[in-house]
Amino acid sequence: MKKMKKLLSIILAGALCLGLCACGGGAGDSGDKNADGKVEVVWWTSYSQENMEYVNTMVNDFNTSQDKYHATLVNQGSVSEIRTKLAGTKQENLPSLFNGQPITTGYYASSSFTAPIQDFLDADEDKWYDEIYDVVRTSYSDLDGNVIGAPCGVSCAGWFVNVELVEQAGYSMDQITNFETLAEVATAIKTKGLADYGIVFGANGVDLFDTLTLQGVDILDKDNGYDGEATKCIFGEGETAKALDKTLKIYGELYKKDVALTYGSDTNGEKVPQFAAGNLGFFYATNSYAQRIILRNPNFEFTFIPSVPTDANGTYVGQAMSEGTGNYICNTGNEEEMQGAYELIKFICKAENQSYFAQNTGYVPYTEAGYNQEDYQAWMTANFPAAANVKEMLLTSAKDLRGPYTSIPNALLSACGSLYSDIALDPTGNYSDFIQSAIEQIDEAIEIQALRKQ
Amino acid sequence: MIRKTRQSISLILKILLGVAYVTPIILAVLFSFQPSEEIGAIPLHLISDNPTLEHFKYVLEHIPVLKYLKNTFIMMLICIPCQVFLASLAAYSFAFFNYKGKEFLFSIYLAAMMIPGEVVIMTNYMTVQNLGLVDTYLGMTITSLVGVTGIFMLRQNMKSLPKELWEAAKVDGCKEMTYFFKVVFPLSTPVISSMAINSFIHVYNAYFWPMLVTSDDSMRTVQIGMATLMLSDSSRYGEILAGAVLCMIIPVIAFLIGQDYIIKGMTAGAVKS
Amino acid sequence: MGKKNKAVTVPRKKEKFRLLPYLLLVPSLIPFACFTYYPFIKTIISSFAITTETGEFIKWAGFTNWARLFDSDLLEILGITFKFAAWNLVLTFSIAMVFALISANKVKGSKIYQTLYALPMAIASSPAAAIWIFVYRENGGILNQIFGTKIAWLNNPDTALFAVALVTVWTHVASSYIYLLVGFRNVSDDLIEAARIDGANALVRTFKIMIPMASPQIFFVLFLNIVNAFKAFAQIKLLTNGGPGGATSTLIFEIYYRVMKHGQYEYGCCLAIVLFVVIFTITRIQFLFEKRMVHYQ
Repeated sequence: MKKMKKLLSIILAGALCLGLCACGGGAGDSGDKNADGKVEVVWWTSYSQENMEYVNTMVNDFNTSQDKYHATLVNQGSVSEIRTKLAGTKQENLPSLFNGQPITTGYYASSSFTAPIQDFLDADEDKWYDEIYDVVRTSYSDLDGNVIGAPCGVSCAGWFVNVELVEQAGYSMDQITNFETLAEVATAIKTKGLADYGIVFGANGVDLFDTLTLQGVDILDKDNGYDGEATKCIFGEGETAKALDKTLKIYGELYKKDVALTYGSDTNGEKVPQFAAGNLGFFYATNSYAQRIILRNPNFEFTFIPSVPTDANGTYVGQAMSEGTGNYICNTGNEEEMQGAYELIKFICKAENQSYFAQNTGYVPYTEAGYNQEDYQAWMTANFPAAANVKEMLLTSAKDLRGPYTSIPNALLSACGSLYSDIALDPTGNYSDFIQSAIEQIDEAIEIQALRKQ
Repeated sequence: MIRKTRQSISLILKILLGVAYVTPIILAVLFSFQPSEEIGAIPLHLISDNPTLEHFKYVLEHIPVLKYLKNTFIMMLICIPCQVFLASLAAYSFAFFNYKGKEFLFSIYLAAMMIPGEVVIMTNYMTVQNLGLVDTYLGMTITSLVGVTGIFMLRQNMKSLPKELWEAAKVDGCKEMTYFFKVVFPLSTPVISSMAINSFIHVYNAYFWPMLVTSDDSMRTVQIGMATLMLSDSSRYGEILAGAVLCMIIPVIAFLIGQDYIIKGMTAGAVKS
Repeated sequence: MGKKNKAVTVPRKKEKFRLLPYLLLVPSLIPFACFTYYPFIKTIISSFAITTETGEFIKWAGFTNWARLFDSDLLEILGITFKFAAWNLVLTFSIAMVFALISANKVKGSKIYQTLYALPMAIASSPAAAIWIFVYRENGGILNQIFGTKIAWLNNPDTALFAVALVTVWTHVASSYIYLLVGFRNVSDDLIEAARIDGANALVRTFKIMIPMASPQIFFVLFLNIVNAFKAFAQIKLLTNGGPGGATSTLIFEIYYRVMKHGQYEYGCCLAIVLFVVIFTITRIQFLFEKRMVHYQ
């Protein structure tokens, strides 16, 4: 057995040597100068393989268009995985820029690893950022109006609608301007036997969250977090309570009458197939889902309308962007690198790139110039004419429309999700209990966060 | 004759049970050959009329599988011998010696298995960064260098070796460590093989820790590569399943080879000799 | 059975202090200390403190986090955890035992079914979950097509926990199976043959010879299953994400949820300690039975 022992020790020694001296090959560390003297700019992205390739095309164009920086794209998992990883990464290991959602802007603004874009914008003579639709700009800004990040893929939440079913039920699309009517139409679709399912909701709380914010309804006190750090959730008070009660009532009715597809159903497994088969009237999603529907059934006709207010009395102020992905610059301390990240972000936001990205992914352009690009218009007319509704909404949304400004966006979304989930599972239950439980969730999260600041 | 027929029937039944058991995997394979519009159609159908290889082509063209496999392989080359070596040393200590604090120390080892990973992982990430091991093979493997499962199992196995063996070796003037290398370790080969197979699968399927520790695409492993196919803005089942099927081939081969080492009756033979 | 097990030991001559057994443990203790014990100590400390969301210490907080924990729906979560663990343990262990027993004899062609029984190990959890979602689908899912029903297995609070448990069991049987297979295969042929000649039938051979001889291995696999039953996480995240309405939110899922999604690191630490205590207690109880259950030679 001496041979065995010898063999084992050799393998072990060899392996340990390999491990100890092996370092990463390939791209250099971000911020360093590579072999050609260009500064390395590393982008941590959350896009899946498919979309990453389109982004990569733009990154390659960026690299050939100038000779100071060399950008590389690296996938780092979902936006929440990126967030977790960034929070635990030391400054010297940070990338140059990363993807994040606009709803987490408040969180990133207060984090130590993000550098606001505002500083770079101020130093740049070219005020390209001013072209971006106001409401999108707001979603990437902090309390004082400083811009923290820039859009990359703009996605707005709303309803995919099977127009044929709506018309068969005896309604027209113009009538659907609020949730109450929408629910009425969905119920009609089901009760008249035109389809198995009248409606389906999202499962991550965004739908209730959006419905409230687009009416200017506050979720937190202190003016939704804009008048100082919020201290509690105001679901049970004043205007918020009224709007919430109305919305939940309409929502609950749908489940009492069995109009909705099971809450929490898998998107790709249930919702998309049902909708694409013409068996579902209204499907809550974001416009980027258009690709999946087209993939499942290329000949299917559908339209898309942005989220609507609760009822005819609800004021519609537009949609605060919570979905989609944006780019944020990392505070690496290396000025050249950070400038390079800024240049890359600016390049991505050019009109032709917006158009290119939007055509291939289902996201929408976010400046007039981007929207009016010829190739985008051609694609839109042929594939997704309803994108015009999204653009209309973006253009007309109130300039200062914002959702809650908070560093605990996940807690708000979870609470909204729990509310919708509780009612879906028990539509005849006591709604005040459910609301109370949601309030407690949010208050607890605020409390834990507050303890850290003291 | 009857015995043979009974054996054949028994064999067929066992195989059928196995096939029934892996039905989901069979589904995955069948679906990976269906064109995208058909996967997940309602109701589900198994064999498509237009089978296609496009998903496999996509995976092979867009994911640098060979590069990732190389990294995974190197990780295993580090992890598996290390785990085997460290585990057998520790198991030997627990199985063959009586010393103060043995039970306590063993409980401490076992306790390590009971600590949930999520709270520990961020601390380890910080430690690894402080050691400067980001984007290195050592960094990726350092948390898997010891497997308590292996230690426990080897301890069980070593405890069940007949004491006559040790008595006989002692008579021949054999010292503990020599006994270890010459007798115990070789006799534990079946158990070590099963441990190696499990480690192999564990390292192969690892996702979160390698993802955390590597920022450089050239260091990444197979599972991370496959995971990029299925992030939230994607719904391409065909590619995901094709990737999974391709990923399964290597563990299956490893398992087929490893099974040869899980053989019967080694102890009996040793006592006789 | 009650044979007293005697470990092969160095005969106690004068209880001389020996360094060797301790030395043998040192190589494995070093990585443990850095990557398991140190973070665990940190976890315990963090449960009494306020930390950043990645665990950096800010200040002490006494029992604040613990008070919050006991004020919450901890009992409900524990209930779900125990139910889930019970299903996992019982099903995984019994199915693995059955598979291992029927594979105990190495015959021609056994490699085929051996590979099949262990195959689920080779498929990563994400694509496996994608397939199981098709199995469990409400509209046109495989289970519903077979039974002719229209149950939303993963979205109905009554069925969700069991549905997820089934997938967890399916994934975990393979590894227990391999360990048990080794145990049964190592039972010496001569012993079995002798028993067969003595007229013992298959049942007697199994229960009076195979199982006792493989009892060290079985004991270990039981331990492994207990620990894994409580730690099983990936399937919950991929299939139901804790839903519907928290019906599949076990202790370990809560930890992930609080730490990763909400950045409530300290709270997650408290939960982690509770989980640790639960697993530790149950396995301690298992070890009390070691002398009775296990037959070492």
